[in-house]
Amino acid sequence: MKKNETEAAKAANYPEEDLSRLSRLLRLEKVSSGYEGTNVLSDVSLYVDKGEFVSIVGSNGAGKSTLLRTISGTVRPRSGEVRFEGRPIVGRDPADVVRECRISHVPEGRLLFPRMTVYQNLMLGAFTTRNKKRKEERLAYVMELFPRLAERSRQSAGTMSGGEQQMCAIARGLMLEPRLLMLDEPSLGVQPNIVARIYETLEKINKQEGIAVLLVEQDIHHSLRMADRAYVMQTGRIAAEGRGAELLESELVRKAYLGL
Amino acid sequence: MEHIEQVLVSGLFAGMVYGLISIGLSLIWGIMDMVNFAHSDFMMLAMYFTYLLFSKLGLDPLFSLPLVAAGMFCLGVLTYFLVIRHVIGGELVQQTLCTFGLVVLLQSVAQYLWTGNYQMINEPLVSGNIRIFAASLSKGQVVAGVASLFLAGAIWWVIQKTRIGWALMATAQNRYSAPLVGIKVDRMFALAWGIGLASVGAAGVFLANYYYIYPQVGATFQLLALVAVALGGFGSIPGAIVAGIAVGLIEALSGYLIEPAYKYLVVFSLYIVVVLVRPHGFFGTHS
Repeated sequence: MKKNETEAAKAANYPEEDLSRLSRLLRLEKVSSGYEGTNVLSDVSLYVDKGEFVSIVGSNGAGKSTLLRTISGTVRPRSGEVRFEGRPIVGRDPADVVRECRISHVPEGRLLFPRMTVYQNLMLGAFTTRNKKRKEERLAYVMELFPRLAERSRQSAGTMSGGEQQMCAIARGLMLEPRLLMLDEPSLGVQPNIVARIYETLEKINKQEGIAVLLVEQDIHHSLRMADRAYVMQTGRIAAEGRGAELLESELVRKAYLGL
Repeated sequence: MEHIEQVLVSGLFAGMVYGLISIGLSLIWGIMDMVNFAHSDFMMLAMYFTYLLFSKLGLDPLFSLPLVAAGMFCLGVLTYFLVIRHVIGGELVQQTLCTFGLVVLLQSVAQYLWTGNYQMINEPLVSGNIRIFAASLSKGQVVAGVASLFLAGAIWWVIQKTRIGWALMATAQNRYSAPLVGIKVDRMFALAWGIGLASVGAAGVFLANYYYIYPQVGATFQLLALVAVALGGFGSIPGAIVAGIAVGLIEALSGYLIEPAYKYLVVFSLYIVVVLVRPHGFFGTHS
């Protein structure tokens, strides 16, 4: 259907930008969003293409988490448009966004189901999949990605270390077989050697499975180096965008984040 | 002490019914952080439904059970969408006043429709007495106890073993991340109300076999169920079942050993002690 839309648009001789708008996996246009009276995001426009690894960096309070919540539908934008594969998703029930678009949001602070086992948490990640066999296959896959979770499968999720919980949260997100995996500060409260392993795994998922990744981080070194493209956020706005490695070298990032 | 067996056995069977009444309260409490003060008044309604089906249509409580339980399930879902949904996320006092409002509403409606007179189902299929050890008990009480225990166990099984049960638990443990795996929290809340009222409705059907029916019949059961939920731990289903039985036994024993007039004094004193010493109850994990 999407292809037809693109072709129809081509036939109608739409400007180039409208064509790209239709073929993007995720596209935000002039999105303003926030909570009760306060605006956190102002006029944010960005996109993620199929199979792309996109990072968003910015300091605490720049609006990164609000951005992900606005995409997953847990926060409703004031204005602007969010499109997934060309279809508007603003105002949809977050559970429907998960079910129909297969956008997986691994939230800040992990938000596991703490008194359920790792196995239960993972199976709940595939809540929208009814086919039991498919769930089991997917489970085998994520356990292979995170062998530690296989060892802990019968343990209550809330009793694990920060790093293990983060792995469990990512694995829960992957159980959905997502087309877009959004991660909110996966390095928070996780010891450095495990952070490196988590990033390796993210890269592997992105390259091998072709799942598009939208990563939000304060830790700019890792996330900018890994990204195909990246955005820098400052006080609710996109301050810069470009290729990850370029941004890491840019004046803005060096000044704002490295104190150079 | 020749009556001790009688006391223990009747306390035990009464406690099993308290257990079934308590699990619905505990479920709603655990999943939504909300106390349904009208819980036992819905049970009163179910008792009247059972009575009406018996007196108007000649349907024995044994057969009206599925009908009443299904009706109460629908009423629970309806109550959620019409009333409860609007106070979620509100202040505690709003939620409390809201379910207190339901208490007044349900009792007034019952008073208006069916007067304040005591009603009773005469000669249901399950009647007469049965001997258990040295104790003699009405068959209605035995059936009520055993069936309550069975139903409570069945509800626990559904929650522990099924996909929807896991979704209910997930909603209870983190209602903010439940939508992120595709669970519709609103539906889970409605389901909790449905199961809660269906289970207390079933208890009402069992009680109607041998208990008086009047608009205020819920009051004592409500307090006892609150005690059981606090003892068992908020949100814990097995906790509520075990604590319900404990409450039944304590009530019967203290009535026998001290003085029938003081039986609730003992139960509620125990409640206060538990709240002070172990606020999460004995099976509770809620913080």
